[in-house]
Amino acid sequence: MVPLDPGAPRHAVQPRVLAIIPAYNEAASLPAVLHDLREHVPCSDVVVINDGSIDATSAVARAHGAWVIDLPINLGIGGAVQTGLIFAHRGGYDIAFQLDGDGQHLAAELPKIIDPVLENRFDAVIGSRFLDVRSYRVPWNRRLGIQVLNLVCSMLSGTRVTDATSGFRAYNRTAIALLARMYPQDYPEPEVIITLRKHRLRVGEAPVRMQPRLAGHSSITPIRSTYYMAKVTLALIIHALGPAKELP
Amino acid sequence: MIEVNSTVQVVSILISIALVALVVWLIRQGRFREETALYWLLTTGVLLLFALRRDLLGWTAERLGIYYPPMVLLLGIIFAGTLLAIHFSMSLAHLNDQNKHLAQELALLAQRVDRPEQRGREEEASLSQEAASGEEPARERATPWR
Repeated sequence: MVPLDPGAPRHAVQPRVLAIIPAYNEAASLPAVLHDLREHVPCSDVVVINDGSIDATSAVARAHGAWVIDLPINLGIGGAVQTGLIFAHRGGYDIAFQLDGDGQHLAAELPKIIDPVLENRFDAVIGSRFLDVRSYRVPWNRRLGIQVLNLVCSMLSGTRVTDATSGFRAYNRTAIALLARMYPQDYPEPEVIITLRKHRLRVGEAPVRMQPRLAGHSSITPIRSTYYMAKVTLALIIHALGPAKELP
Repeated sequence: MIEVNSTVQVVSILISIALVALVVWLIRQGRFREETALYWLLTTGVLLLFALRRDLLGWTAERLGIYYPPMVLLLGIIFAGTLLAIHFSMSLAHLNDQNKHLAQELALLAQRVDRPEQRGREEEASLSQEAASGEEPARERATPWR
């Protein structure tokens, strides 16, 4: 496999890499995210999935040179990311990585999740805030929620998960093909791990740094997080009970 | 034998007849799908039957070991309601899924139309995939859109 070298010119053997940025009302933070991406991973194509935003997300993304897929209705993060993965699958991309449009994922950290996939050590790699790095501060109630989810997710997937809700992920062709076809919608981040493991794909984690959101506000408030945790735990168990579907 | 001997029975017969009439009218208007129409016909039919023949209610209660006959009706309604709720959640999940697929395909198509240069790359990729899998490349797909 060819390592992803930002300085290398694009030629035939360079793997085709797609950045998928799901965005809902992220017009304020997108310019910085896209600039950061261009600077650190210039050889990737960038597609912003505008999930029915009511601000200028679409126009801002276009103005900064990204391809934009405008969903006519708000599908939620699951539907948006899946749209990007369908795009990656049909476009024949070797690697697709997902990062949030709010600026909490740093493009400088991308090689940490992309390289293990490029080296064919994993089919999917998830950037974890909690694996080694302790710099990321999360409110205690949310952290507790995440820890419980990690435990449930680890037990159900049979692999160690330290950041089940992280949306900083890279996938290879096999994972792209699988997830383009079936992507959980309700609580996609942890459920995807179970889906991948159920289909015997190799899922790994890489320690990454993340920063607080640049603008806008998170859709998960502290009050909701406890309710969210209980719902997700139940959903994960139900999801794990479901059968693994055969791919054609 | 049909005996009408109380106001409540008259009222329940009238309501049941009205419900059956409503269902039949809705079916004629094409407002139900066949399976739902059948379900509603059956449910309202049973209600009408029990309204007309109260002794049937007593007979059923006795068979089922229920002390208070109207409870049969209540249990039946709860059971039918639960079945219907399950059916609706299944339909909703299915519709939601179809809705998601439609929205995704629409957005992807719109992107193709807006960004013609992307088309060439996608076709190139699908052709190279076909070539790799040894399939005959689809001629229509190789033709540029005009």
